Amino acid sequence: MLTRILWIARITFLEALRQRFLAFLLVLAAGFTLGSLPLRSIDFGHGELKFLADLGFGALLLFGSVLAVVLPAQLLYAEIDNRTALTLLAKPVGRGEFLLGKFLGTWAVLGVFTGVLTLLVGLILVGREPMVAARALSLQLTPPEVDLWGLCQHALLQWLRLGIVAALALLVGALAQTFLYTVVVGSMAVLAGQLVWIAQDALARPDGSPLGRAGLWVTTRLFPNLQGYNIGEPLVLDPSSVPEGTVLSLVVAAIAYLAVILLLACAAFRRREI
Amino acid sequence: MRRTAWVLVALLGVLGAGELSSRAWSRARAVVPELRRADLELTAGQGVALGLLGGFRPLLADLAWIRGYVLWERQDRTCEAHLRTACLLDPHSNYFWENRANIIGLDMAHWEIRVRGGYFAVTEATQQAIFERYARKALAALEDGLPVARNPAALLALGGYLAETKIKDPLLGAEYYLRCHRTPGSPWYSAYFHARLLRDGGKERQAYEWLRPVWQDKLSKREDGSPTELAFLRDCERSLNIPLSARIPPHPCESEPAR
Repeated sequence: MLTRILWIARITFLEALRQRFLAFLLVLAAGFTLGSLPLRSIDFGHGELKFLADLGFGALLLFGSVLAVVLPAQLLYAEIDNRTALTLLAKPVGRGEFLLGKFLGTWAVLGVFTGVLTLLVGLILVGREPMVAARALSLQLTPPEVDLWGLCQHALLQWLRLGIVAALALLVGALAQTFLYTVVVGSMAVLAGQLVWIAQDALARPDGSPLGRAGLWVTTRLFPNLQGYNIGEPLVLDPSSVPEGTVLSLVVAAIAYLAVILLLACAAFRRREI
Repeated sequence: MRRTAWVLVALLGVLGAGELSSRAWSRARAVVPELRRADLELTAGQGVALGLLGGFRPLLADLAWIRGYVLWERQDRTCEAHLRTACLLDPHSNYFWENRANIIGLDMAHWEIRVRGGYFAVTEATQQAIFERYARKALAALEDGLPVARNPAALLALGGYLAETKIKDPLLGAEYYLRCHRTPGSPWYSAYFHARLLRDGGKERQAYEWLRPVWQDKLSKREDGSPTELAFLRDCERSLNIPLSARIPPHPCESEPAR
């Protein structure tokens, strides 16, 4: 079973690498990340390294999210529309295996995307660090430091986050009938995940009616909180400010969500008409 | 039956994952910049939606600031919404909080007076009421920034300045400078300004009794011995008729010996 899943994942990965969409988004994100260098001249006192890190991580978040929604939907519907899915599923390949293979292939591509952009952001930060530190020392300020371990942790968190997004897109794709519907609903789910922290913060306050609080509780449990994964800047530039165990708890939560969403996606895909 | 079991398992899985996610967020929340719901409702819509999605916040904050700056140059009060957006998107930046408060507290009152016909048309009492109203608005903006700004001491010092010069309330100013003095990274003058404003507010003895130990324990150990603060304390000693034996002993930083 695992061999079949990995085989489908490998084919999906190679097929995804050939997609122009991936190349386009990669170039766009890299261009945006590199564009932060001249853009830093309009910075109003954020601190140069923070500005560069935020823009690089922003590019990873935005373009990565677009890729994580569109790519799995595109790959899934290409198989269904070209009838290759029928051929594949006629062999002794289960529908669940097919979907998991698609997910792993897509997730591997997202890993490449995350790795390339993280490397680029890391090079920019490490390249600028001596200049910024020298300037800070001349002004008798504490020089900022780039924590490369924090950068690796952020890359892992983003990869997991993109994995959740891709899994959500596959879940929607397993239920929906058209590519466009999948992309639109998948994007909405990502948006909800990005904004669910508002409900979590509201729930943390003691005020509110019991019914409203119950609604908030259900909302915060249904949607994964994707905003929690955007802690790149403190992880890289101020790791001491990140409470101990934060990264581990985010990793555990992401793995739990991945398992549940993929389970639901496989269950939905089993009943889907192809 | 089997289907119900599957639904139950799926539901439990989702709720379990949600619980883990909530716990993870409670840890991560400490390092994610604070965004307040009240601010979201009042903020100009442009860019906020994207800004909320994380990333790009500094760039969007800068763009909002530039837009606000253009409106400020035209003396357009709608600039405030853009300045608020900038503060919301990058709440750690002192630049945004300080300049937003400066624009509200120092400039907007003048704009309103001009709109009402100018300084000759508006009575002094009305002018003062306008200055006070905007300064209080600026103080409210500064208070919003205190828990999140990188250097809250600078915001408190600005609060003291606005309270003193625009609201003309020395005791309120003294309170701000005291809070500033107690905040890490406070400027050297915060202690002196607190004491001076206390005296201006009619609490000279309290000012003397507060500044004296601060000068003796901390300020006198500075390289120059803080002669301005010592001169202030000598003034208080004279006007309060402190007995010679109870006064601060002469200090090398004084240009003339204490009398």
